Amino acid sequence: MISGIFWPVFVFSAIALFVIGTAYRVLSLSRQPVHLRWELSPIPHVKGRGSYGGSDFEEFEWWKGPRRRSLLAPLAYMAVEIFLLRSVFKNNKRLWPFSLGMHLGVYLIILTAPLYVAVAIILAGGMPSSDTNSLREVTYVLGVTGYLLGISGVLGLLVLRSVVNDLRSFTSASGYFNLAFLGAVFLSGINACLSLPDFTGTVGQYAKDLITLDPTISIPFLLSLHVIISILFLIYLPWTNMSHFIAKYFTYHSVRWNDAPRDAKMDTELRRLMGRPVSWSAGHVQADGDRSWIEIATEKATDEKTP
Amino acid sequence: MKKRLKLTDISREEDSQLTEIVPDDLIPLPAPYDKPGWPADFQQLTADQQQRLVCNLDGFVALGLPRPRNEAEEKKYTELFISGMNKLLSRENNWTFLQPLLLSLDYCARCQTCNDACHVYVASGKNDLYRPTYRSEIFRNLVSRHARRRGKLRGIFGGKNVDLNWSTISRLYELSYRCNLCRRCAQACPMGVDNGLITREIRKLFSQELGWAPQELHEKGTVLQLKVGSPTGMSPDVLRDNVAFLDDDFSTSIGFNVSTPWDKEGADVLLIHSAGDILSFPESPAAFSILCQAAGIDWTLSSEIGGYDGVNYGLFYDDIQLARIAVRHAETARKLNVNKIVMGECGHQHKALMTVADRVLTGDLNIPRESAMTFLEDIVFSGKINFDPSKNDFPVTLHDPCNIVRNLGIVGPQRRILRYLCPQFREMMPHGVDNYCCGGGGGFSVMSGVNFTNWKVNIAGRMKFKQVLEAFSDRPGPEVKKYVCAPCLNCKLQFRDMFSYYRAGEKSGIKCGGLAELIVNAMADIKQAFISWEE
Amino acid sequence: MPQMDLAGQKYEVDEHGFMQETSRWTEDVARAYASLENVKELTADHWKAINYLRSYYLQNGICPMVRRLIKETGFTLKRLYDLFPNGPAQSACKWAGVPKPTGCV
Repeated sequence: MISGIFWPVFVFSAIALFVIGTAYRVLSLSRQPVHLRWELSPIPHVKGRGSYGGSDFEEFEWWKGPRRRSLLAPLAYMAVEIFLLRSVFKNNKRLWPFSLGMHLGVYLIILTAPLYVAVAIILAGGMPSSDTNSLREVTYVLGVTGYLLGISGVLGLLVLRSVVNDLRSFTSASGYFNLAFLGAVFLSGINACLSLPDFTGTVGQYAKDLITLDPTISIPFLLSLHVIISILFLIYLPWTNMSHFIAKYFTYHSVRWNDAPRDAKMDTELRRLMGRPVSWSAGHVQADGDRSWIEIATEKATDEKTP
Repeated sequence: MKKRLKLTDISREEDSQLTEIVPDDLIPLPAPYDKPGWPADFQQLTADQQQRLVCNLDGFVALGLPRPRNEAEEKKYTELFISGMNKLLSRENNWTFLQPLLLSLDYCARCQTCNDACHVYVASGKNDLYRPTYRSEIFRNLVSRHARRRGKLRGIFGGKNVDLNWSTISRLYELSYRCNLCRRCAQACPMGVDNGLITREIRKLFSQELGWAPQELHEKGTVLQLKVGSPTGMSPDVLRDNVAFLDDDFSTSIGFNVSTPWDKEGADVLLIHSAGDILSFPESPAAFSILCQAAGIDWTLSSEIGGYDGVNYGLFYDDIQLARIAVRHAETARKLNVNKIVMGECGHQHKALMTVADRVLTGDLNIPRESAMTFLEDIVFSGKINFDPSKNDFPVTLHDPCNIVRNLGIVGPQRRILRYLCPQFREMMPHGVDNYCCGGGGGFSVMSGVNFTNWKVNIAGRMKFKQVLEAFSDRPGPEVKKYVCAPCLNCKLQFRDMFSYYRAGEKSGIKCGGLAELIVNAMADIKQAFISWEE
Repeated sequence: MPQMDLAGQKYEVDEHGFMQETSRWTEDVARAYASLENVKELTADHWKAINYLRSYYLQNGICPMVRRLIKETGFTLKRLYDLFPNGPAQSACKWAGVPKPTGCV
């Protein structure tokens, strides 16, 4: 049985890798240059108008008025989008129940993580295991629900993706693999959950041993299977398009809802970007690899090109 | 039963069409439009055209790309396509849309949630070719293998490799002009992936790297505009002459002395019409002149090249041309020293100048830019003009131009005007930011290609035409005159083409026009009817 | 560039059959176009519109506004459609040998 120093090394380096991967994603997305405005209604942060898709431009001489912003509305909008999958519900009823199941499964399992840590802390504080009973019951219910929802969601999605023509022709090997991988996380989870006599207690104890770096750490095979699969998934996640949980922030805030007027900082960046050489090949662009974007864009005459 | 299309079909080397569009597949229209005249009135390609031009997509040809002369030419363009993909992903060449493009390329979940939001896809009877994800996924596949690091690995793991050859790029070129760029699919996407943007980036690659663009948008569009002043070919002299003619003509016909001011320095407002309105819908610029005059606005038109045609086809296919034209617009306003530029009733002008070009118009080019909708609303409710809404007592419905409504969030002003001035105003369903495109978006309303008009009126515009008929279903007969208010020239052109194709004037009494015309038609001080129902 | 046979001569045209070499236009070309649209004979009214369109085009580089055409010829729009089956832009301009109007028109 795997035991001892392997566990903390494995788990903590995996978490570190996940954090690094996620940070890499965030950085590579946030470090993209400022782009031209490309917003799309509705923009919920527009106070008093966002609900029907209106913007500041509805105001006569809009540049004179205050830009009234709602802090709450975008949060509420995103909450419904993230927790209930509004867009999928509105536009893809067939997929929605399964996608929702899968996502809720993930959310619930994520929710159990801090609860296990709480159990671990209580145990590490020397309290008797019985003090964590109610906490573990709650965790158990959340976990089982999460695993079951997750499994049914993943199964449903796998079936839909392999049966429905529209989805099948767009699903690649990695698409199935990602789903199956996530399914394995849920499946190993429910398996351990239902097979072990005291699942949450065992996990809690395990978490405590991890935190305290206990060299005698040891867990049943079924749980180690679940932990290993889950941890591998965690490492893998940021490098796939399942990392849309990161990208979604940018697609909404940096593109769809980005109605920010220019400011001094943006102007500096724009000047820098426009000052760099362009190398497009078409004749009318008149780029030679030396002339900058701004020189080209303020060009007076253009030649004809042959189609 | 329709044939299923695979992603890899796009690179099929034989010179065959990928799909055939037959009337029975399309979503049905209400009577009396339920029996298609098509294919009887469908313009088949001639043998000569098939010989000369690439026509390997769906039986329609928008672009008229000449067939390659030899393999070397095929190879040259295929290589340019690869270098173009790389440039699309580079900061120097594509800072303008790099972040949105990367987000849309990398995070599609292939869930097809966007599909049914697309009017083209749905109206076609769900033809695989028009699925908003079809061209995006092909492009994504090509980019990941030819323009990204780890391309090989992605290729193996991602599966479904699309070959890159002449067939692929020539089909993809034509296919990038089967999307109206309306972005309704982007609204539907849970991830915020934007297939409209990807389509535009594909067009841009073709234009900026291969030098391929529709004639109507490029040579006879942006190039002509930068050279002569307008894609219509109207030079400053012809422009002034035409507007003077209209001033005179309308003054006589409605008994209201109209006089349009020119190049007035220091005016409060520089109004930039879409110049095609002057030629095709002259009631619109005339109505603006009448309203500005009646409301005592300190305004002017410009007769300088770059200052009298608000269109900017660059928005549809090319960033460089987009920027060149936007800069010219702003320069005109700066020279005239006006307080603000007011858009004409033209959707893509609104979007191009008000937001997309915002980050290009730096320094003193940043002149405030106002929508025609708020400008007109301010006039209507200023109390300076007396209205008699009973003059507009006919059914009116409102079309929401995607670029003004979905893309800029200007929803309310035009509705407040219509609710006040048109007693029989009714909405289409859906409307507002959930509207359907008219089918002329993305440059299509000025493109006729070889037989592209057939596609525009039968497929791209089908959903909209159905919506219009449904909005008027309580008064379907031709004896009841009905007005589709479309405050955008490109939309009006598409409606004109559709209504003439379906003979909707004759069969249903439907006419299309702008917003300003309805306002003038309701002016109490003008005795003559401004809107004419004569076809 | 496609070619088209009109009145026994070859002409460069666009994909919709509009002449590209306006200077090579003759009255026979107009008749040939008309017969393709099943108009057997060109009347004085036809010529009035065609000649006006042509001279306006040669002077200004674009086709006149329909409103101006109506005013100058004295024909109603309906009359113009009677004379030119596909209307002033699609038929009359074509018969007059000038390029197809483009650019938001």
